[in-house]
Amino acid sequence: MQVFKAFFKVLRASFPSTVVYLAVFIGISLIFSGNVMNNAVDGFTVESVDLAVINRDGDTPLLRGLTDYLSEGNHLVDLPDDSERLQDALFYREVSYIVLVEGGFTDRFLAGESVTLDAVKVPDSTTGYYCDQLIEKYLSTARLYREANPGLTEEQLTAAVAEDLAIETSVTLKEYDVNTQGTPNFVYYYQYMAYVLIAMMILTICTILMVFNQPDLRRRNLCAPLPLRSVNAQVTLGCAIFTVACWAMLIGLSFLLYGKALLSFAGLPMLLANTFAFALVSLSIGFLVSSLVKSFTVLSAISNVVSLGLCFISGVFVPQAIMSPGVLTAASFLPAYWYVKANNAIGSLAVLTSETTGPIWTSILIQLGFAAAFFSVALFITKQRRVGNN
Amino acid sequence: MVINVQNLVKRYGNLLALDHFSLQIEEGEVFGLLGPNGSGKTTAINCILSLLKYDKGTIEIFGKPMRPDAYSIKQDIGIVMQNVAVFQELSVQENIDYFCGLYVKDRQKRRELVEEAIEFVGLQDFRKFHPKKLSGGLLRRLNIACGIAHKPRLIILDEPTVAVDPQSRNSILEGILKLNQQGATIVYTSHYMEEVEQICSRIVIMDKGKTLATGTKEQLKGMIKGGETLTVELFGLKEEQLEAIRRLPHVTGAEYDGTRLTVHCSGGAHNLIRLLDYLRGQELSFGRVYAEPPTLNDVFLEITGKHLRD
Ligand SMILES: Nc1ncnc2c1ncn2[C@@H]1O[C@H](COP(=O)(O)OP(=O)(O)OP(=O)(O)O)[C@@H](O)[C@H]1O
Ligand SMILES: [Mg+2]
Repeated sequence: MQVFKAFFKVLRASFPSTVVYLAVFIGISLIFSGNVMNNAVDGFTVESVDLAVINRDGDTPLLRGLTDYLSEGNHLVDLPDDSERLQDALFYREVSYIVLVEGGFTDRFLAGESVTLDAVKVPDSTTGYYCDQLIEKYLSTARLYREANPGLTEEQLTAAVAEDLAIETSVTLKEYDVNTQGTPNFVYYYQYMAYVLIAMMILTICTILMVFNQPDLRRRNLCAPLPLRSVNAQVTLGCAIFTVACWAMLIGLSFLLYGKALLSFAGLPMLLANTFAFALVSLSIGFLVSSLVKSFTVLSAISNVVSLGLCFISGVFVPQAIMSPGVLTAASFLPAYWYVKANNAIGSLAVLTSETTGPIWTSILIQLGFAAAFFSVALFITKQRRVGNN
Repeated sequence: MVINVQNLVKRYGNLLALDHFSLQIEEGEVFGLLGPNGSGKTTAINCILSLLKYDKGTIEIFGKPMRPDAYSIKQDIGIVMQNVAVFQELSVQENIDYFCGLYVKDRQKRRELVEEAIEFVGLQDFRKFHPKKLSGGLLRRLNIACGIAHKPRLIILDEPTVAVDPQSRNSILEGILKLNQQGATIVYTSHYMEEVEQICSRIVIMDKGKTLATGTKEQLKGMIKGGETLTVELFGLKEEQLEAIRRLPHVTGAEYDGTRLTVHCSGGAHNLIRLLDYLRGQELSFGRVYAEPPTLNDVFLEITGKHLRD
């Protein structure tokens, strides 16, 4: 078991860089999965900002349109035009945003002057930026219609803008729907885990395999009274143990972070099976890359490109639900796509029936198929090369 | 016979790397494989070790045919490759232990052997060092230690002293002789004739994949008509005087470059005295005078018409 022992000594040597990678990856995934939760919450509050419109201009159709637009999904509070009262309202968070419309605004706007609306808001708040954007969006759309079609009456203009903005709003809402409803947090952890796992494994497995594949060392091993088969078997065993260890470590971490929620989650076995299948996929990609790459400097570039690229177009970072069908079709030729798909399906499982779990197991099997295919190609390439060398 | 190679032919595409190469090595010899760069030494070694497939010929080691799966033969061979082949990730001690462990399973025994090898190459102070931190010479010594730690009967060293300073080189050469005294048969390849002359009991000279001559160094030198080379420092030698020197008995050639006269002689005695007598007769005053015995380079020169190192 000399080779097997050396495998872990080489692994130990590449440990510091692996650990740094791991730490960075874990940090990123935690931030990412944290972000998704925050976004979801933000998305919700943003849609019902308490705001007030102080209209010193009069009841013009344009301003009515703006007020209607702002009131959509938000809560409009009636406040008197009294600066002390307004400040109090802001201070006690009765409202977090106050639009101030100065007299003559509508006329000047329609005349094409560049006018802006003043606003008072809770300092540095996201809701403030959100409302700024809403107003900016409304006015710039109105400006666009006014310039494109100077013949429109104020009423027509307002109606056109309202119609225009309504379309976009409904789309935005749909995205939020898909993204956040009822998905347990750990599902995001498991989604980013695909990247952690594949990046770490490609880099480490390739580094080690490339060490053992160095022509001089290979030749030296071949001089020893030890069948090549045995050398390869020991290296493969080392890889297998490393794979299981990586997988177990990331799973262990997920238990540390989401312990109770995970343990009571009915889809847990499938979650584990899915990640394990993907660990095997990562291992097979590691084998494949190591059979193609010859220099250590190229390796880190390649491993980054492969792991990032694969994860990116397969929907690890961007939800599959909002990716274009074309990209998704292309991604379905990649194993990470099936991992994410299965992971999403597991995350949205309401009941466990053969009908709901069937497609998940299919996705897992497809990943295993990918792994087998990558292994075969890697073996074929190594064999070809060995024959070529002689 | 330890190694018996008959009519080995190896082609790389169109290039004929070994051309009916034959070699017989007896137990206990320090055998030198001498040839210029690209003459096929490494190719021959790799074929002997079954690392390369060859087109024709037979190879026997310890009287048995050598094959990729002849593990009982491989067990008794130690190999020091031309390129340093060690793990960058393992320390000196771990590297030696790794390679020794491919041959020796018993831990206790291996620990002793590794220790012995470390002392043998003088790396005691560098046990925990990683190869990156070793100088070129120390790295070569590690390479050797990895090859010989398991105490093989046959040790093959492929240019183990390339890019090594003279001091390390000498200690390596002494070490090789010590291994031979401990009973190992040595095959040593090099393109440095000085090394081969210094340690080898028998030598084969090869070029372009062919065996040119085999024998002890005395036998090899005896094969050529070339004898000693005389060198005299002097000024103002005229063309007709150089011609006259060339006509002296036993002189096979003479060159003059304005400051130095070089005269090649075949066998014969008193060549130097005869030359100096001539120069005095011509009232030429000369500076330093050397007489060098023939070298393997002269042998190579005479057989191939070119120098060992061009
Ligand atoms: N893998 C290969 N493919 C093609 N040609 C090769 C290969 N290996 C060696 N050669 C050629 O075969 C010839 C013999 O090479 P070899 O390495 O055996 O020489 P050598 O005597 O060991 O030289 P050196 O002293 O430089 O080590 C050279 O011309 C070399 O270019
Ligand atoms: Mg060579």
